[in-house]
Amino acid sequence: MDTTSETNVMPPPSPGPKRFERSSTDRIIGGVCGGLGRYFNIDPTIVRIAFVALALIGGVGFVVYAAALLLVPLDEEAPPAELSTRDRAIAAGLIIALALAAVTLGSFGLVGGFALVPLWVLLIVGVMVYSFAEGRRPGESPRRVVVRAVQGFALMIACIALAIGSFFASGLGGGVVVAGLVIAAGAGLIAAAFVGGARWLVLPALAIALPLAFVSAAGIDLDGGFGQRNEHPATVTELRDSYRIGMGELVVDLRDLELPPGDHALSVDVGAGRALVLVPENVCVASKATVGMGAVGVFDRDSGGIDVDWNDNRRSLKRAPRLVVDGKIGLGVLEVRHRDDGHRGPHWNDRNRDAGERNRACATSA
Amino acid sequence: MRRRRTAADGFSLTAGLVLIVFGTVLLLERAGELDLSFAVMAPIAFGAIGAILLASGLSRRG
Repeated sequence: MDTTSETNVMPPPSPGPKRFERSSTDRIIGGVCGGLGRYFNIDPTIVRIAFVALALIGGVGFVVYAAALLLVPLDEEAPPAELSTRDRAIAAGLIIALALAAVTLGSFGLVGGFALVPLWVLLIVGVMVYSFAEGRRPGESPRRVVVRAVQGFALMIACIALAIGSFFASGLGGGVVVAGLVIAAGAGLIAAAFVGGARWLVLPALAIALPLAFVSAAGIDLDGGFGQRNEHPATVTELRDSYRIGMGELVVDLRDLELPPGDHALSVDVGAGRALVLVPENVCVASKATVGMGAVGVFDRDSGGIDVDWNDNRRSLKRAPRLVVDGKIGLGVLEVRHRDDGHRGPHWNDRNRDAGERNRACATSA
Repeated sequence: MRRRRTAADGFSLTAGLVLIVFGTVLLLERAGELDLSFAVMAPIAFGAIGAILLASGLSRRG
């Protein structure tokens, strides 16, 4: 057989479309910039500078690089697959979701400029979460590290969602059930220890246990509704002895009341948020309160921190009415004032002093 | 033929025990049998986390 003559007859093979492949020879991390430089016939250093600039502008460069690292093949013969199809699909989906979230939020002006720069921090956190959950490092290859980091980050997001759910479930009276889940997770871990272990179960178990511990320690009771509540009794008969809200702001405005001399009890209960009691200047206020985490401010006196136990027992001047406030705040602030200046947040006591807020209707000695 | 026994995962055992104890404390608190403030709860919670981290650091997996 005359092969030479056949070779002469056959047309030369078509070069085919130009392929974008990562460079195996010109690489610093994964060869993406080297491959792009070769594809566009430009110096890879320029591509690298462009990627760094893109990473600083909203972290886009980082997302694009991670996606290319995952999806673009190396220019050499492909090594045996080191990731399962499921792993690749999960990572690709999460990266695309992340990129879409960045673009969407950016279009609403919610994320701009340097807001996404800490993406690399999130990926490091993802690697740490993965390493803790699996008890081993994610591997040496950049692609594997990126995939594991994304999985670890997704696990962290799931744990945050669990923690929020646990907080509300515990605050709304489901603490016994949540505690039972923690015990069940512990039992599951012990059982799994004999068949290879299930380390990943620790993170979700802690994610539900710690918010429950916080709710229990602070005494947070979210029963009573959410949002803003303004109570403005116009007459003494409309004045209730108890007001409460689960989460939000409760304002009890008593400034229009003509309280008769004598004691008047007022109980204020807020699970998480702020309670503001506004009283006329001719009313003496005696107060006691417990605050799990937060502060109490009664005119020019205040106390804050954790496990706050407030007691400011005052006697009223002759013929002056006395309001006896009993506050219970899980997480937040209890304020008693004469005027509402509209300011919220810390340092109210300084403003109260500046505004001359005093418990003037009380006797000088407690 | 003698069956080969697999060693139990020390980390999972320790973390499981810690979670059971921690969960029991929380259950008793929610059931009204205990009244724990931050001064008591914080050391318990940090102790549980510390024990789990310690077990994680001491465990070795191939």
